[in-house]
Amino acid sequence: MTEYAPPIPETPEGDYSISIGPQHPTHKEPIRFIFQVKGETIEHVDLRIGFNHRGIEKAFEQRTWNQNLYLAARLCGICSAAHQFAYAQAAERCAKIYDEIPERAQYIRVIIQELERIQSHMLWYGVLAHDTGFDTMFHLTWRDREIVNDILEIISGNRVNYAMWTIGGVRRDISRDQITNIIPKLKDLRKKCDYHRDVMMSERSFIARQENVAILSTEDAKRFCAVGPTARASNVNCDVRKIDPYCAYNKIDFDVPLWDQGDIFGGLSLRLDETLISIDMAIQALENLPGNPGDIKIRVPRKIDPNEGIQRVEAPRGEDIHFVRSNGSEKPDRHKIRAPTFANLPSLVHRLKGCQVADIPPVIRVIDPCIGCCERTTFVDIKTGKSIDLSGEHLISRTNRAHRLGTRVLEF
Amino acid sequence: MAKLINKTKLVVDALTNSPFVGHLNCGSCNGCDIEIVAALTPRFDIERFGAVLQGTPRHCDVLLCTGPGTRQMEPRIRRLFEQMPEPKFIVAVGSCASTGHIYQETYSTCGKLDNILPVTAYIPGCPPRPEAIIDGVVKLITLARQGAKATEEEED
Amino acid sequence: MMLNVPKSLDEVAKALNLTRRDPKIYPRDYYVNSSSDRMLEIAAKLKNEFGVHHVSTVIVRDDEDGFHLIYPFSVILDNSEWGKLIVDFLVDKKNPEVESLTPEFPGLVIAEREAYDMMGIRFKNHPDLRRLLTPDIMPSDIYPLRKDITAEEIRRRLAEEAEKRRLDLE
Ligand code: SF4
Repeated sequence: MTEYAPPIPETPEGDYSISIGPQHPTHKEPIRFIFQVKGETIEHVDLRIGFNHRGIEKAFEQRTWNQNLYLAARLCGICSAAHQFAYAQAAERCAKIYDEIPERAQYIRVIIQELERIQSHMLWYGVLAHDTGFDTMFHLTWRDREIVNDILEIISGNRVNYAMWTIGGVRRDISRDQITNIIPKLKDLRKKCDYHRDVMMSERSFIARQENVAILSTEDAKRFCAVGPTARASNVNCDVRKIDPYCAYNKIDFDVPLWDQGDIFGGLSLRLDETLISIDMAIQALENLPGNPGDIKIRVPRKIDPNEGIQRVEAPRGEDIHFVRSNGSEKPDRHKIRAPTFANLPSLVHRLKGCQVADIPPVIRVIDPCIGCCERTTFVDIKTGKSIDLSGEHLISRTNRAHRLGTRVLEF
Repeated sequence: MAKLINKTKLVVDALTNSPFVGHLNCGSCNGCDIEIVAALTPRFDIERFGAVLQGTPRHCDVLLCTGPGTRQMEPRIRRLFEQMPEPKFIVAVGSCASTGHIYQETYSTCGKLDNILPVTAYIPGCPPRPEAIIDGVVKLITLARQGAKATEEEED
Repeated sequence: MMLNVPKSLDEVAKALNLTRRDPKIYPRDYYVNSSSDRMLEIAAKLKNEFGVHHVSTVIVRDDEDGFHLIYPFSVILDNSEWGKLIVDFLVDKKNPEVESLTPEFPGLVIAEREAYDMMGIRFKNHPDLRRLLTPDIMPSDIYPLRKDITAEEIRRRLAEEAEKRRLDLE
């Protein structure tokens, strides 16, 4: 593999270079991290991304506006609705029909967005629990997450890629029956999420693993253009739903929680709060669904006159921005995607410096890339050239050992 | 199947009773990956069938691959495959891995997983439901056992 | 220094001496045209006078007259909403070189690397201009999102390159 790998930079005597990755399944950004460590402290971080680069932006230029909707959903399986949504709205702005979308469609858009946020946040804190060695919680949250997946399946027919949007509205309506079916489920889920919150907030060893680890100050969060929960945990109010409202978000009543610690624990508490708020928002939108059944989309011309459209939406991980340019034909001329994880990488690199090796999995987890990233960690001892394979579990046992010994420096 | 042919019944049973599965992302969109994890968690619980998720391919009998296989991952996928102990089975999870799906014509993928690795089983769907993933793995095991048994009888 | 909290994006554009390009349909999308030599000044002014800290990304668009670089700056208005000041300027196709804004906005570091990788725009004074997303075997003359090369062509070249590497290894 080494022939293809970027060169590991020279390290001074006594230092190690650690390469983590590339097995790291976020959509556009599977990452290979190269850490230089002194003892157990990270001194320098380099990253190589692009292992999942599939050339989607070019593919957008070869398909028609409507076909592209399905391409946009497959940018990421976890926030597929957010990407599809941003693309649809950017195209609507480009075609100048953004203000004509029926109100019912706008509310349905909010509902799907919030349901997606719930499932994504539950996924996140479940996996964080797994990364920090709290596997019971992982299984609990994933069991309860199935409730949201069921609801999404009732509405859209699929558990993961919902394909609910179309340019000019939504593709499926929500009927009375479905609403009466869904609301009790959401209330049940709210109780369960409350319980998750209680458990996580009172488990001392779990919290000790996260407090004061990898702190991102407000200043740095602003400097590195962090977005989403990562920035909000550092007290930057950057919730696109509030600061740049779109669809029906300005008609719905909700709070944006902010935390100022900026550590992993801040990120956790923030997402736990947001999950509860999102459940409330989904219930609120379902109860107040306006308009006549069936009035969910408008006709859109097949060709769009030369224009530009830009739209940002609040994906579960932060601001997701799509730009489209039309040239009068059936296909877009240019489509640019900036996914939230991409925007959070500079701040991640910054906050990794000075961390302990054992803290790598939760710190990478805090910006919410996806599952299984640190399952395969390879430590390369530069002096002997020998490599040791460390999985997430090994890393966890390492910290536990470090804590037991009362020291953070361990010999390899 | 062919790899199990020369093994005795005992070995085949041992290898298929509790298959160790691994998961490799070859450039997927994550949809398939979360469904694989969902298959491991309480509602679906693949461990009922003895399958255990392993962190590294070095411990795996069955590798669940998702995604069409990107150019950047290609040499790494080959290398990870080589690290797996024999007998090994590759399962292509999702339409991407099976056929290339929407990424067939994009520039930095290899088309489909077939172009990189010898795939034994395909699980279609975008993403396949956890039940489908479990079904695929169970079918693979049954087929492996049947294949091994058939050759044994012939030899007798 | 006191930061200026603008009432509307008009005020910002006026202070920067820029004029709105698009018809006024969407109030928080404010497209302006500019030129590449003014960008450093605009960025510094936005940062120091209006407290802009968030630039979402760098968008590059390949057009007949050259590359359009588009920076969406988020300006915080006095009702605490964020407007988008979308600055669009043209770069010559033969010599696509512009000043990097990374020194002003460190968050742009990988966005500009992506622009370099995908379109071949060279950013002067960028701390770390390497390719970012494309495979290691990508030939150095291919910038995949340019219009003068098709996906099939890139696909073919990459397959050739991968084959060559494999033979080399054997
Ligand atoms: S099959 Fe569908 S869900 Fe699975 S990786 Fe491909 S696009 Fe994503």
